[in-house]
Amino acid sequence: MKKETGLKIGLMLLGVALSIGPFIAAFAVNDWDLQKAFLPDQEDIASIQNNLTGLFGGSENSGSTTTLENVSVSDSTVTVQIQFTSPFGFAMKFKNMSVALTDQGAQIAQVAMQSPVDVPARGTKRITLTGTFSGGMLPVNPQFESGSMTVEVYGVTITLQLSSGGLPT
Amino acid sequence: MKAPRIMTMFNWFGIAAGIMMLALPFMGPWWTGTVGTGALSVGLSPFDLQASLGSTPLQSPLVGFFLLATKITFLIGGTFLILSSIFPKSWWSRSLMGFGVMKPFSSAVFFLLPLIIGALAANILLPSILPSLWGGAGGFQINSLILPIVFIVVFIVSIYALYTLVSRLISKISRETEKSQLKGNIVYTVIFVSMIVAAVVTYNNIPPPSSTQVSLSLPYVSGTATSTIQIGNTATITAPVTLALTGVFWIAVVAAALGVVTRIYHGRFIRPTMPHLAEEKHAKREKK
Repeated sequence: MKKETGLKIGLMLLGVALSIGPFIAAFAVNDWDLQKAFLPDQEDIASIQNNLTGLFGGSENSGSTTTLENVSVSDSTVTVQIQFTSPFGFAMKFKNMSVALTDQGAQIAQVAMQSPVDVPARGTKRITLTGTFSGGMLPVNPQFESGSMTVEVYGVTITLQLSSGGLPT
Repeated sequence: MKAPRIMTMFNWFGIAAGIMMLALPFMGPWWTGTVGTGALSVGLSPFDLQASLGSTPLQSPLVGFFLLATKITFLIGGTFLILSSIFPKSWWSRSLMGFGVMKPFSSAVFFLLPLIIGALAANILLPSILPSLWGGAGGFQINSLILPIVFIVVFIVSIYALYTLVSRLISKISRETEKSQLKGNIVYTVIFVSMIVAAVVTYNNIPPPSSTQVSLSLPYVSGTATSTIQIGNTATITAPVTLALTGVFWIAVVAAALGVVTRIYHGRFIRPTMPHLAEEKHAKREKK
């Protein structure tokens, strides 16, 4: 009976050690810092934050560059070419983009993408938007106004409403 | 026709369960969850957690050590189970078997519980909480969280009562105790039934989310669904969510069933070693 009792006590202590041991080990290897022991590595968190900054717009330092390259009008069709440089560390797909094009305060066209465009991580791609030209004269100072765009990242679809000022630059 | 002696020398169920316990920690995740095509990926088992956001892995040291401890527990428990099954009549057999025989069963049950709780919390609580984080319409109202939290707590208590009741019944069937467990079983049965009734009543009285900006419909444990989050008037996020139990989980279920059978079957080895049972057996033979 003594042997069996000793064995039961030993097994109980083993169970306790396996329950409490992880706590002690986790804190011991992380300088007894609760945050370091519980949360992922700070570098990984910073990497995620860096990748996602500016994804939803509104960030002045998002690092994205949208450059209006060319606006051409031919037979009442306006073609706009913009160059987009992605600041993100992941590939993305522009599934749809529709923006109002104005000139000197008046809307001259509603332009949209005709086909999706894949942009590699931190890559640059040219995006072509076309629409029906409703202005009288050739545009002098075309600007983007409000609109919307749909982006797909890792299978997640994000639809952004673009306020006055157009595309993020 | 009498079974060959070798068939009755060992607890073959225990040997099989022990081997499975030694293999399970290395067989991969029991459950996988994916948002999109890798925006968020999770592979989960009681021994390992693999999570990544995009291409960046996420690891918590504390969680990692806990899972390592579970792995070690299973390996030790499996070894003890095999030893006690090979030498079932040894004085240490019953104690060693008791250390790990029910661990696959409890692992399988309590592995599913946080998955269900997580889906409940996401579907019921998050639509009320998230909009307040970005100043959405409706604001944050604590009253809207009371009933969902009560439901989750009651649900957990009911599952725990059910698990305890099943464990007591298994103990009784395996004749590990001759004490009457009727009172305790009735208590746990009453607790389980009342908690289930309370959970159903609470769930039916949970008001719909006041916000229409968050529509989450996470599947419970396994399935595919699409969730939508609207952030003010700026952005709408639509994400397909896929959750699935892997084949390894079902192997763990088999190991759990074998563990239960092992515990019951082991009683035929230990019964002759329990003096009061031996006397009872002798008395029955005398009557005949």
